[in-house]
This record gives sequence, structure tokens and C-alpha cells, in this order.
Amino acid sequence: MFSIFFFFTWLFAAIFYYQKKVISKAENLIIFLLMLVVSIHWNWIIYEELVLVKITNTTQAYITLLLFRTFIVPLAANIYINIILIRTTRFKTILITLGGAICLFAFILLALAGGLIETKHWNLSLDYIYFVLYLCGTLVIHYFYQSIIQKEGKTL
Amino acid sequence: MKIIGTFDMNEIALLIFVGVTYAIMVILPKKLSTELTILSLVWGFTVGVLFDFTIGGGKLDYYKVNDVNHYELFDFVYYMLFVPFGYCFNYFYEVLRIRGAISILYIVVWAGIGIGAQYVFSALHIITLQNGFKLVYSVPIFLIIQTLTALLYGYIKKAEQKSKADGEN
Repeated sequence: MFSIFFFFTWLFAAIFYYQKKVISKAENLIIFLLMLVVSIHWNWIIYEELVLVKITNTTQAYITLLLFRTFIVPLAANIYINIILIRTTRFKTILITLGGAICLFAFILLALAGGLIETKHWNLSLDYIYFVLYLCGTLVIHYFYQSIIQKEGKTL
Repeated sequence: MKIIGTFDMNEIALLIFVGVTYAIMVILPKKLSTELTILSLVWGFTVGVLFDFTIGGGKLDYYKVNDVNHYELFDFVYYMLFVPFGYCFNYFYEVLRIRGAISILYIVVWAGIGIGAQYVFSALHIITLQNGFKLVYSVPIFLIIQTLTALLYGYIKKAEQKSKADGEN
């Protein structure tokens, strides 16, 4: 399971590296960092603090989930924002948001199938809702950031 | 998960540190571009959170922040303390015009400031090292973080200059 998650970490990084960037390097980095903080907090609260989902007690499972929360999820946010801003019709935005959340949700299903995690007092649909909101959060950060930069008149 | 543990010396010390460091950040004249300023603030905060939740919690759990191993409000205040550090690193990098080999000395000095801060935090029980972790083990962590910060500064600064040059042409 670690190899599969590692492959996807590499794949997401490669996709992000080669995709056309529509926002500046600084903004891409800021989005990555902020979404990393959100991802870390979500995982900590659900897995470690409230133990609503239990991580299997192996180092491999733990490291695999670290890869997911630290790289895959925030990179997905970067890939998402760079796709969204190229195709900006409202319908396509909704479609890409829901589709992107399905992609991330598939990793949760993969982790469950691979025995990395087991749900305790948790409804899996909440994971999907979280990923939808997570991607929407990326958009909010983008517009908030742009409003600050435009106010300062220093767009790169 | 607790909102707040016992309110004693470590919480008071944290509030004083946050007050002083944020005041310094506000007082310093603006030298960095808006993008670099935002990036410096976010970078400091994120690095703190990333390391704390990776080696300071979970399976490794090398240190405890504040009174309990669980997440509480003042843990967040502690992470806020990383923001001025990230900002000041890049601010003085710009103001002192650090370039080339001097960067090595600059990074070592900041790693020293980091270790010194961690020593003070340990003495004030803001953090408690545990599970065999020693202060000296933080040296490689600080060296890596400060080096990455310097590289990041150079990377974004170069992008800014390129963008400015493209805009003028």
C-alpha cells in the first residue's frame, strides 16, 4: 500500500510540475502551504485527537497516511486551482470540484481496502464533503489573495 | 481535545512572546514585496505546524506542547510564534543584503536563534522534550528549515525580478 501511495505522491508532483500554471509561483506555494495546514489539522483531529477513524498500528500505515496528508492532498489543491482558472465556466467549476473530491475520496477508500485505517464512529460521506469543502477553500484563498495583491497593485 | 489547559507560566510566557515578536514585525519598516511578505508569514507558520504534528505528535511524539499531549488553544498560539521567525528571517535577508557564502553564516546564526528559542521554551515548559529526544537533535532540523527558507527566498525573489523585467519590456 505504501508503494501505491508513494506512486501517487510522485504522480501528483509530476502533474503539478508539468501543468500550465495560471497563478504566480508565490501564490502556488502559499496555496500549498495553507492547504497543508488544513490537511494536517483535519487528519490530526479525526485520526489522532478524536480517533473517529483508527490508523492501523503499523509504521507503514502511519507513513503512508503522512504521505497522503502532507503531499497528495495539498498538491491536489494546487492542481485543482490551476485547472479551474483555465476553465472558468460555473458548470465546469462545479464538475471539477466534485470530480476532484471523488479522486481524493478514492484514496480514503483505498486506505480502507488496504487495511490502513478502520472507521470507528465515522460516516465516510463526511470525508467526501470535507474534500469538496477543501477544494472550495482553495478557491476562497485564491480570491482573498488576489484581492490583497490587487489592493497593493503589485501583481507579479 | 481541550480548549484550554491550566493557565499558568507557560501560557503567560507565550502571550508575552507573541506580543513582543508581533510588535517587532509591525514596527519594522516594510521592505519585502507583498507576495514575499505573505509567503514569509505563511511559511513560518506552516513549517512550525508541519514539524510539530509530524515529530512532535503521532507515532514519534518527541515533544509535548504546553500542558497536555492533546491539542489545545495555546498550542495554536505557540504555532503563531513561528510566523515572526519566518518573516524576520526573510526580512533581514533582504535588509542585510545577504548573498553568496555569507548565506551560510546567516543560516547558522538563525539555526542558533532557533535552538536558543527552543531552550527557552523548554525552560518555561512551553515545550517538554520526551521519548528520548534531546535539544541537540533539533540542530539538523533547524539547519534544514533555515536552508530551505533561504532557497525559497532566492527562488521567489528571482521570480519577482523576472516578472518585473518582463513587465518593463
